Amino acid sequence: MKDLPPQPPQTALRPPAQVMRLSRLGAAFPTRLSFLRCLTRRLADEGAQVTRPVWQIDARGYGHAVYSVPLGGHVYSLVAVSNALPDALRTDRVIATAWDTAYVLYDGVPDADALARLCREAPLQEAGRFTERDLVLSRANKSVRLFNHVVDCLRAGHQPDAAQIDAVGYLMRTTAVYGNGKFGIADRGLIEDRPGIEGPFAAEMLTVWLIRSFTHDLVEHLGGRALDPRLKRHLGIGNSTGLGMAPFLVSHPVLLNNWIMARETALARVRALPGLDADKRARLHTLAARAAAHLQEWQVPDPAHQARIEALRTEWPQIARAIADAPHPEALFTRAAPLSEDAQELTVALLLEPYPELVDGLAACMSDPLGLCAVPFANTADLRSAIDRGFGWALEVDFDCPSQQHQFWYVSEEKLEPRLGLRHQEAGAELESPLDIARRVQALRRDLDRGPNDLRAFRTAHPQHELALRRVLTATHHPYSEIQDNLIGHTCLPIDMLRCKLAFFGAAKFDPKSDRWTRVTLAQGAPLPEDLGTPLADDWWLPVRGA
Amino acid sequence: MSYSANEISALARKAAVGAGFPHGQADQFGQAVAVHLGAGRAPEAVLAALDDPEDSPILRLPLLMDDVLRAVALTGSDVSLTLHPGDDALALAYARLLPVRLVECRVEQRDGAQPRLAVLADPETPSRPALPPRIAVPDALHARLGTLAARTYVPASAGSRQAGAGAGDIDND
Repeated sequence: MKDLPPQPPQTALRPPAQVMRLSRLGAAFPTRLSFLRCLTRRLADEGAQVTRPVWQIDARGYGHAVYSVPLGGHVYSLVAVSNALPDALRTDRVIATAWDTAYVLYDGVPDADALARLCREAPLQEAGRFTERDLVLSRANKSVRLFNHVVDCLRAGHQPDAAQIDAVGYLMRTTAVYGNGKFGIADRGLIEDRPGIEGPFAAEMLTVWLIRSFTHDLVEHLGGRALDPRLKRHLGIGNSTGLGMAPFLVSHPVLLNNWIMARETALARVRALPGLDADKRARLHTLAARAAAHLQEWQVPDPAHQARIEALRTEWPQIARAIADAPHPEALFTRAAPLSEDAQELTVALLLEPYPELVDGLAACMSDPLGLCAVPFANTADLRSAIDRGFGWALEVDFDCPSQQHQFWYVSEEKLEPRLGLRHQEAGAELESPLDIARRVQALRRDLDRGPNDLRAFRTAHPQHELALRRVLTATHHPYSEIQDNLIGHTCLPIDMLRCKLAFFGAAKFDPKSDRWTRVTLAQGAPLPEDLGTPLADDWWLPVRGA
Repeated sequence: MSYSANEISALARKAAVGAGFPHGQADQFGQAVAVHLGAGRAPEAVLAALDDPEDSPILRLPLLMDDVLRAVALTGSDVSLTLHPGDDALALAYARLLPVRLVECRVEQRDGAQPRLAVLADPETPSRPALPPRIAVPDALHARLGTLAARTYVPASAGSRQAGAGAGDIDND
């Protein structure tokens, strides 16, 4: 039998009852385990070189282009299509039917026929039809104010205003990035073993990173001159995300567990370190100062979220100052405990950053190639006990109180847009999506006290409880699989789920537009293709322009 | 026409919910349909399973598969269980969803006896079914699944459009 390598020492993991609350998930920050970071690290490690074999873009910025990059022994190509879009049709919502630009990540380098097909189908998005050679489908709209400003400045012979770049952060916003078989593209199962894109959402992140390059090239093409590389590096790619992202976290409990488990294990390893050597201390100082500058750059119109940012700006110096005297990382972690959840989670992200040797290998544990592998419960006593042990948070909700069933999640027939309704005011609750995990587990527990003791007889008599039963089994083996809040209650803010997922993608500068959708910036400060061989390639946590 | 496995799984899952089956069983049915059709098996079994939400392999086969999994975990050897009449058509697809490597899996038909599902599995080796890159689905089956799935969508309304997604209609900033 092969010996497993020794694992680094670690403290106890933070408990799910703390980590999996909505408000804390909604305070997440990107870390060095975020998927975009993992991708750019991999690209840099391989010395990947991006080429642009096709550039058929006219003087108005319309046409198509192809970007190719080798990764893990395969070549992937982004096909980008740019079209004119009337202002009246520019919307970030799923219900959109036209976009400024459309994209497909293609497996290989497309020949003329494939390119013609993709130029025809990509702008159709959900109405198009794709093949197993097409890995990711996406689209993006211009940030009109910044895109035009940058082009105008370049045409006028000078660089764009850095303050405007700071304020927006991107030239275009993606409004959907589809993977895993949607509209005929390749199932994830077909590519999940490929080196370099085996991680969660790695193909989607590669797409996003290449789209960012296209947006840079497009403004330089239209402006007739090159952007200053420091400004260019600070131009990420925006993303506008709505409710569709939230159900994913609920419908993929093992995957959610694996993301959180990797991050929490990384934290536990860092917290177990007995000391803080001079190099790591200096690095923490540098990163804390960068985080402070990043917080100053982060401005949003929403008053409530801006207040959170300002509170964090006030708290952060306490952490930054504590670095000088902290005897070990645990002292910094403890120093954050009395502060806000935002400050605590930012401290977690900070603590992981200087320790690639303890953290980066955990990225390999963040996918879910197998799903739930568990022997089913043998009897009702085991099931009852598992609920009582792991779902106290669900059992304590009073669902007789109307406010605890205030909302319902549903899919509209209008382009299948995911939406949230008010149960006591709107029609459609009978068609709600099953995100009411707490209510379902509570109902299961209640019926267990009334039903047959034989589990098979109980399941036959109560087929409606199968989903809840499976959630309980999953949580028994995967402690971070459940968001431990009532997702149909009046206090549930979907924006918290969106932020959690987006932070794992690597997004920052969260800019909530309501409690149901947000804009974010992805890949700001990320390496440009020409940076991949430089130290910049993996040093872009909470980036600041020019840093 | 051919589709990705995920398209078929999602459509069949929604169709099962639309036909009146609970969400948990619908999830497994969706996965099983992709395996079933991906193996080139008869599409009629898919529609037949959706006929009666009170009496269907969609309700029975998940229970049977848990019986198989428990037996495999306990004995580590081959297992043979009697199938309910009519459940044999989808039984192999459900068995392929078991999270362990199947060394052998077959439906045994004997004269005058109920069919049995015979499984030899390696409980120490986790597994997930490999699916083909494209799955052929007859147009009639696809249309029927689509009709059932459409029952799960909430009708569009102006109020829902304005408030349901929490976003405006135009983004020209």
